[in-house]
Amino acid sequence: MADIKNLTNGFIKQNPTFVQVLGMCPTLAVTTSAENALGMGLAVLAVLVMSNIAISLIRKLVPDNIRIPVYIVVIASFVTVIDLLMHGFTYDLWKTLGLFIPLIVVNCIILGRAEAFASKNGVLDSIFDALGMGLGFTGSLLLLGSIREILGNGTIFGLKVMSETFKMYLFILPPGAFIALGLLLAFFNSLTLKKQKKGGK
Amino acid sequence: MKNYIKIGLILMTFTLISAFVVAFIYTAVKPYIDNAEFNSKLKAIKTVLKDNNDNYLIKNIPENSQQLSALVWKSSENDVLYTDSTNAKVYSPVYKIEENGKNIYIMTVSGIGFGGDVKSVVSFVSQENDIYLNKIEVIDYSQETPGLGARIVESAVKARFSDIPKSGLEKTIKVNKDAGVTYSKDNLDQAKANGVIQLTDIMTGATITPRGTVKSLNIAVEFLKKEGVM
Repeated sequence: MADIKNLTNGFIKQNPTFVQVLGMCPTLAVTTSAENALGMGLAVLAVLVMSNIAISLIRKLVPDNIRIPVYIVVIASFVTVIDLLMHGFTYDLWKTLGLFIPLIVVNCIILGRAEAFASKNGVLDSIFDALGMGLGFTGSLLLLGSIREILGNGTIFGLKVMSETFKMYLFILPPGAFIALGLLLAFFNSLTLKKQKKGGK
Repeated sequence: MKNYIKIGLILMTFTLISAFVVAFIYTAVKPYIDNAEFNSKLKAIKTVLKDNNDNYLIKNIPENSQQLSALVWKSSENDVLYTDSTNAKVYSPVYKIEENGKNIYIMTVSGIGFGGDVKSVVSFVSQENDIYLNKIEVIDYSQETPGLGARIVESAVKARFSDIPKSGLEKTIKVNKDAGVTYSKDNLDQAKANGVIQLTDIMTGATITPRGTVKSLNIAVEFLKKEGVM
């Protein structure tokens, strides 16, 4: 029986971005707006679920010494499929995310989950894990994207929420990405520390 | 040795299966991809065929790929028809529509922006000895900074790049920051007549993207001069 904990782990406790600090390249690069962040998050979620299912299914057929190349082939195929589907059906989003879609292949969250989880667990658990990690990643990207868009551009999903006067352009530029990410990391770390302290007592 | 061959065969099997899956999806999705690409191109062309009051300049608007390919004026086997030292480009094909003594030239052009090419579709209307730049539609600005350079796509900004008369086109087009002048909102026509795009009031802080766009307009003008239109 699948364990529901595999699903919830990715949300906060093992959050891929803020706790495991994985997949930093797309995290910093595409979170200039909430929409891009959500698009990227969902694309990663889709690839993660598909690759976790496939890898969990073939885990007993793959010899140990070639598992990494096989995983990469599986992941690259799914990314290509997602890239083609987005190109055909969500053209505008595909244009905006540009280069970052093919780069999902080397996103360490996906290979990381394949190696650390899907290759050792059943299909259902792997789906749970992929959903949890994928949603955790999407959520953190969305959070970072929204904060950067609100502070830097005064909008969220293109809707105006703040007057021009308070805009801080810095936040939509690369340094703003690091600052916002740093503050969020600190916040999530403080949450975990608090929990540990409570547990200690 | 046996083991190596076995491992090699297993790896090959997985690669083959993947290749089949990708090939199958590609074949299934290809028509949709072509359709999406074409629709986005056609939408941009239709946009630049309108004047500032949103009325079409001509009656026969191309609606499908056949009608559009009948309008090709210049094309080349390479993707790029004309380029210059700044790597601004005019892409193949360039379309020409003739109606009621009006010639409308539609080209896809690009200039280097902040993160790569800023691509636009642009239309020039020539009638008798006069020619003017009617409208631009920015189609690819994906590498520009949101909130800064990416604002190039806002209609208020695009309007500043539209309706540039012959006198402005003949001087090299510049953004007002580079020209060292500032025009008020009431004097935009005068700015355009001098080849100056007034932007600092509506696109504060962004310099590289508009410069790229301006370069793409200048190369379009150069191309028209080369072809003897101007």
